[in-house]
Amino acid sequence: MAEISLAEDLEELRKALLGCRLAAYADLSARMVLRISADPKPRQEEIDALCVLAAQCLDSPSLPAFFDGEAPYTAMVAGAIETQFFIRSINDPTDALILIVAEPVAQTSVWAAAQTVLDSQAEGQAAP
Amino acid sequence: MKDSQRLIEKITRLRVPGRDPDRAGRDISPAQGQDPLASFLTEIDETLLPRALTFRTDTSVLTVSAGNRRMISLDAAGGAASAAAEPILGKSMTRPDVADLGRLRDALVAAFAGSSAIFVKSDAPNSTETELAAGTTAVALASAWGVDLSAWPDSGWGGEDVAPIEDFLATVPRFSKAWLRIADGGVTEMGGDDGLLARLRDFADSADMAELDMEPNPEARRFISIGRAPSDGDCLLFVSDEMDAALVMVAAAELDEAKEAWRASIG
Repeated sequence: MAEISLAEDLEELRKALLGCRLAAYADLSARMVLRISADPKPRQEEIDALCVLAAQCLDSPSLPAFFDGEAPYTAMVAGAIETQFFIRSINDPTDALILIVAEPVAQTSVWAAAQTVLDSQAEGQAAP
Repeated sequence: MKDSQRLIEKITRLRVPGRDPDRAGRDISPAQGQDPLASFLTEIDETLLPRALTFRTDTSVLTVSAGNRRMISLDAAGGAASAAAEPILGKSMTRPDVADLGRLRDALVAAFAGSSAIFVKSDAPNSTETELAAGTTAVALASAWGVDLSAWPDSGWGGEDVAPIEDFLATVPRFSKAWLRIADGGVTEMGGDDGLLARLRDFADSADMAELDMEPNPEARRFISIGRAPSDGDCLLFVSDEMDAALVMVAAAELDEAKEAWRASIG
């Protein structure tokens, strides 16, 4: 049930964010995408590279020292044409949302939209 | 005789007096019939970060502070330019009056008169002043002196693209708390809060820095920001182009401005 909800949430998120071509839910420790909504469909190599980059940005060992002992929760890799966003789940810190959005894009709007999906997942997992 | 000693002697013999790159710097000599003031002003116009620029000719040497495409002050003068430069040495070139503009031009003309070769060397700034509005732009000086910078031909150094990192770091004081530039594996420039700089240095020395730097990217130009919760606290920015990298600390609220500055830098 939760998995169906996640797929729907990702689809809604991708369509709601202007210029978003990919929304994925990944396991950082396994470096694996668990669910994805994308148009056009990406090659597996791109998905794998996204997982690696997300893990590097959010799980690198020396980063907590930089952030006063806390692991980072957000990362953004900006390019000339589009930007990749990574946001860690507060409910399960090994999971993260990955979004690719066309530029120009305001990061605050992306974080806010991503947070609604993560909150929805947290509520779904907390429910009996 | 040892090989090393022999090589040192050979290199010494091969040196051309007055063309020692360590002493003289980069050759910005104007072509026949072209205005040496345009050479000088183009160099100022291409200086984004604060620098001490030393201009040498066969007869004179001038050191100026420059940055953000502005000439900030004439700091030292020797040789043929000494007398003309004396009244304005160390004087701020922020909103200069007409008399000082004339004196500066006179000093430059005296320095470049009768010399076919001009060399420039760029060093760390004498002052850590980061006031972006200090000094007068090269374009404004050119206008005041009737020098046409647009007519300056591309001689291989003038008019070439500014490196993205160079361009980006010129905007960084506007929104960052601390920043450092990394080239050839070492920190070459820095600015901002000392405590935050220490944290940036620690990260620059970490294995994570190397890992991010090695992340394949066909464009070889990267902008990576890492932060805590959205819009909370400070973010660590890692930017790189084909040559250099930089670590910048910005408040999360300034992240969009930093990203736009980077996008403008990479065109």
